Order: sequence, then structure tokens, then C-alpha cells
Amino acid sequence: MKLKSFGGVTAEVASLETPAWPDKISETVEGSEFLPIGMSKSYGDVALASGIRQVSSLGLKRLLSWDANTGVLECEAGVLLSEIQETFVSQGWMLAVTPGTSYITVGGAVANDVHGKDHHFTGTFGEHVLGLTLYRSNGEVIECSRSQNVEMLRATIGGLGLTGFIAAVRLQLRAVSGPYFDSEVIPYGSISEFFALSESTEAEGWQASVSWFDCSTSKAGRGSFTRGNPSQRKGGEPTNANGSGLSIPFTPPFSLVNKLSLDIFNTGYFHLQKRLAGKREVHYREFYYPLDGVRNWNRIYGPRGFFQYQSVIPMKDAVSATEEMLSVIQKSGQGSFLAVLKTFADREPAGLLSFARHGVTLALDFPNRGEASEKLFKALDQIVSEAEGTLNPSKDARMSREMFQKGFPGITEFAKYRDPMIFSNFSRRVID
Amino acid sequence: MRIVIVSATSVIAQNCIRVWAETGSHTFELVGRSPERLALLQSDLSLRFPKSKFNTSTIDFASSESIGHLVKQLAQQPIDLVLVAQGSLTDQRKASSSLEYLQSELSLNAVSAAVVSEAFSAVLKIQGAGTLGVIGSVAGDRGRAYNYSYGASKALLETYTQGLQQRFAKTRVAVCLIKPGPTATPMTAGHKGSMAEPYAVAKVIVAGLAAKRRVIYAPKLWRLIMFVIRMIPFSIFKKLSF
Repeated sequence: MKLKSFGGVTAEVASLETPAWPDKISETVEGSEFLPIGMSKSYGDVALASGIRQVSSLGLKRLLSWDANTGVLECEAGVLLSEIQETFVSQGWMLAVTPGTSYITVGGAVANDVHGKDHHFTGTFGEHVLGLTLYRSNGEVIECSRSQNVEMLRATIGGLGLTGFIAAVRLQLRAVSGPYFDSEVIPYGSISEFFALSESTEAEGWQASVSWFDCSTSKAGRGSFTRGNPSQRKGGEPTNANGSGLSIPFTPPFSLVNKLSLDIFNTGYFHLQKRLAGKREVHYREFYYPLDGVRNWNRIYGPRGFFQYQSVIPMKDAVSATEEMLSVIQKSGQGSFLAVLKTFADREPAGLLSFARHGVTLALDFPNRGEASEKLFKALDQIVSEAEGTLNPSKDARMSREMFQKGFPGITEFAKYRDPMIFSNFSRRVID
Repeated sequence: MRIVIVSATSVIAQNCIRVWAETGSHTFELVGRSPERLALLQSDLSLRFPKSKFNTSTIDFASSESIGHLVKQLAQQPIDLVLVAQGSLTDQRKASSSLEYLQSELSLNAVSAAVVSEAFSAVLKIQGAGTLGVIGSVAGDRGRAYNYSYGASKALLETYTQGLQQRFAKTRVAVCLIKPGPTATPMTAGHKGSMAEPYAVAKVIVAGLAAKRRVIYAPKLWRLIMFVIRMIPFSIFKKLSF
């Protein structure tokens, strides 16, 4: 059967198996090569493995235990982040870290050590993992925690599913007053203004920040900076359901994202953001997950799908490298719809292969234009490599083995913890 | 309401529990074979739905003694609704080659489900009120080469519930036969053909039980589909492959 990633990469897999109870996991993962998968929201090929079995965590969706005093939740790996947010926000707890979509599994969030708007405040998802249960293909069931099998825990966080099948996770949630955020939107005119805003935001103690910017029009570099703090208001029921109820009902025969629509979008979006400038209170779903409101938004890129190019560049060259990347993109005429800039704080990475590291991360979506796209990415790769940066595996479908090995020096030690029966198309491409 | 769910670990039962618990606070009696699975289900449901109460009890579906004992225990307090959800999706090819497998499948899907239904109907009769919902299947509407062992078991439940329905026609006891169409479950992941989402199926079931409908097709479209399939003359039907 054929599986498809979020960005539109496909693979012909041997089968999709979904154990529904813990007592079924061992017999499922033993025997032959496989890859653990979840919601398949990774953009590239980390959650695809051609020709072998995919073992899904989606049958394992139970909350196992909860301590309302300490905020420690234990749940099975197939539980979605959205379920955790919805269940516990009314009790005054939320995930400490969440990426821009809530429709991913806890197992996937651990395996990709995901990050979000709060990186400078709470770090990555893996920093809040207190322990997990790992099923290995040799029949071993390994309980990892901060005091037991610590190295296996470190390898599994950000380990792209390659150390075993994550069955259950123990998570530390973060205390909040209610479901709302005090947010502030600040339009800016250039990339250097972005860096100044990032710095002051961190210094002023804002917990979350992210920025969208225009990278296609003649005014490229302008953007809008959003920052927020959990509101002290105790909640009450949310006033609006998630998003607009919009949905992209089918894949159009060609990409709706082209130079013309991009320029219109980027100009329009900038002016919309300018109108929204200032402070207001928003629900966490609007603050963290604006795109969850538009189901299947990835379909706008047409049947060929799209690439996300997410780089991280160390602070010292961040300004010049980001400006250089922006000018290369502008010259190529392949602007990006969603251009997101964010700074990562200086924190100890939670996993051996964690992507998030001190520096500036830039995430760009490009429609798949075949060779033209690859040519642009090669040019961007060069800027990233020269600045000693790297790319995010969860978003990647094309980086070279050399670039991965250089960007993730933990890979040598990682080999010790690898499950020998687990492969992904990503691991075959850049690791194995 | 106090709701008894027999085979609470089945996917459709789990989704029905969710629909009930989302709209009210109830006491659920979760009945099943495996104490480990029941404990997992109980912890999950208790955390998601703190307004409802979830108790568990184990049962040996093959033993009329175990069934009788459990029903007696649960009947110590009034029961508003019983959902009999036990069943295993019989692999017809395996059933045709292993008589042992065939017998155990027929015992669980037909015999045991009928015994459980009879035992709870006696409780409802004494109470003078209550609803008994029995999960059959659209597969019981016509024997097909693809799944006749499973279908025949479900057809037995249809006749059985018809008898109960006539028997209780003049009382406030309602007996409902539920016929889900093919439903997406972890076990059917990767199967071809379109499958209904179990949550949507559960919504139809819960609404049908509340309205005390005699036969509940879920999704409702299956009433029409199965009407057409039953109407196909055998001379044509035998040539079809679905």
C-alpha cells in the first residue's frame, strides 16, 4: 500500500499494522524490519519506509495516569497533542511545548523532539519527557527515565523512531491559569528589526514568540512579530470553536501557490497583520495552532506537494546568513508562502539528534518545482553549511548525507542505541 | 444513567461510551475478558470524563455460569441500559480450514451473545424497564461467501432479538438490534474500501438507543444498501463477488 507524507512524498510500504493494546505490541514489532509511525505529519521521509512494515501508534490512545498536584501525565504514544490540551487545560495544565499543529501524536513529538513558539522559555518537547516505554524488535521492553536507561532516553528523544517503538510516555505539563494568551503583534520593516525585537522579547520575559515575514515581494524582509504569555484569566469556556471550519476539500490539479498568488498573499497578509497590530487576548488554539483551523491546507500545493526548508544557523552569523538566504530566494523568484523566523535559546539539547540548538531558525515552504526547487535548495544549503548550520530532519526530503552527518555529530554515538530492525527512507538516505 | 457495556474494549463500544460520557454524567459498568485491558480503559475514561464513574468486571464469555454470576451481581442496582458488544470479526478463510477456530468464533459471536442478551433481558423484565442494545451486523442480512460464519452468527442475534422484542412488546423494556456497516478500527487499517469512522457510527447507535429503535443501521445509509442487496435474486447474487 501507498503512504504519503505531509509534504506529499510517497512510499510503497509492505503493510500498515496498528496494535490496539499493549499486549499486542511485542508480537507486532518482533520478526521483521519495520518503522514506527504516528499521524504522518512529518513533511519529508522520516515517517516513511518503502518495502517494509509500518507500525502505527494510533491504536494506542489511552491516558494512563495523571497527578493533578504535580502535572505529571502518563499516556500511550498514540494520544494526540490536541487531546492533552483539551483534557487538561480546564484543570489548569497545558503542554509545556507544542509545535504549530496539535494533530500529531505524543510518540511523534518525542521522536522528532519538536519545538514551538516557546523555545527560549521551555525548550523542546523532549525536555519535558520524564520517561518512556520502548519496545525493541528483539523482544526487550525498556523503561527509560531520568534515572534509568538515561542514555536510551536521550537517544530516543529526537531519535526519529529508530531506537524502538515508543509505547507510552511520561510528561511534565506546565501550569496555566486558563486557555487564553495575552498576545501582541508587532509589524516590522526589515530582518534586522526582527533580531532587535527577538532580543528585547527574550529580555522582557515573554514566554512565546514567532514571526512571519514576506520573502517574495519587492518589500521582502518586512514581517510581523507575534509574542505572548499565558493570560492570568481563569478561563471560562472558549468562545469560538477551533478555526474557521475551512477545509481544502480536494487536491487541485496544479499548485495554487505561484509568484502572482504569493505576492498578493504576502502583501495582503502583511497589511492584515498591520491591522491586527497591538495587544489582545486570544484562545490557545488561535495562538499556537492557526493552521489547524484549515484542514488539509497542504493540498493547496497541488499533486506534486511541497517542500519545507527549515534551517538553523548559529547566532554569530545569523543576521548575515539570513539576509543572504532571503536575497537568494528573492532572486530565484520562488517565494515562500509561510516564512517563519524564530530564535532558539542557548539550552542543552534534550536528545542526541535534537535539531533545535542555539541560533536562528528559518522555515520556508516551497511548492515542489522539481529541478528548480533543488537548485534553490542547493544554494541555500551552501549558505547554511558555511554558517555551520543544519536542516530539520522532520521537514526534510532531500538533504545530503554529508550535510546531515556534519550537522548531527551525535549520530556516531546514536548508532549504539539504534534498533537494528528499524529503518526509514530518511535513515537509508543519510544514515545507513 | 447506569449503563452496562459488555465487551467494553471493542472499538464500537469504546466510541459509544465516549458519546455518552461527552453529553452527560453516567455510571458505566465496563465488562470484558481481560482485566489488564479493562484497567487501561478505566484509567483513560476516568481521566477524560471525570464527571462519570467507571467500574470494571471480568467475564468468561464461554461460561454460562460466569455470565449468570456477573449479571446477578450487576443487577443489585437498577440498570438503565445494556449494550452487548461482544464479537470477533471472523476470518472466513481461517474458519473454513480450522473447525476449532470456527467453533470458538460461533460460540463467542452467536451463542455467548445470545446467552448474555437473555440473561440481561431477565433483569430488565424484573425492573419493568430498561433498554437492551445488541450489536449485530449488516453481514447478518444476507449470507455471503466472504463472511458467512460471522454473518450467520449475527443473523442468529437478529432472530433472537426479534423474539425478545415481541415478548416485551407490552412492557417498557426496549430491545434494539444494532447493525453497523464496515467500520474503521485498528484491525481494519489498510483494508480496501470505504469504512465509517467509529465515532460517527457510535453517534448513530447512541441516538438510536435513546429513541428505542427496533433496528438501528449505522451509518443509516446501510438500511438502503442492505435492502437492495437482499432484493437481488440469488441467480444474480451467486455471480457477484463482494
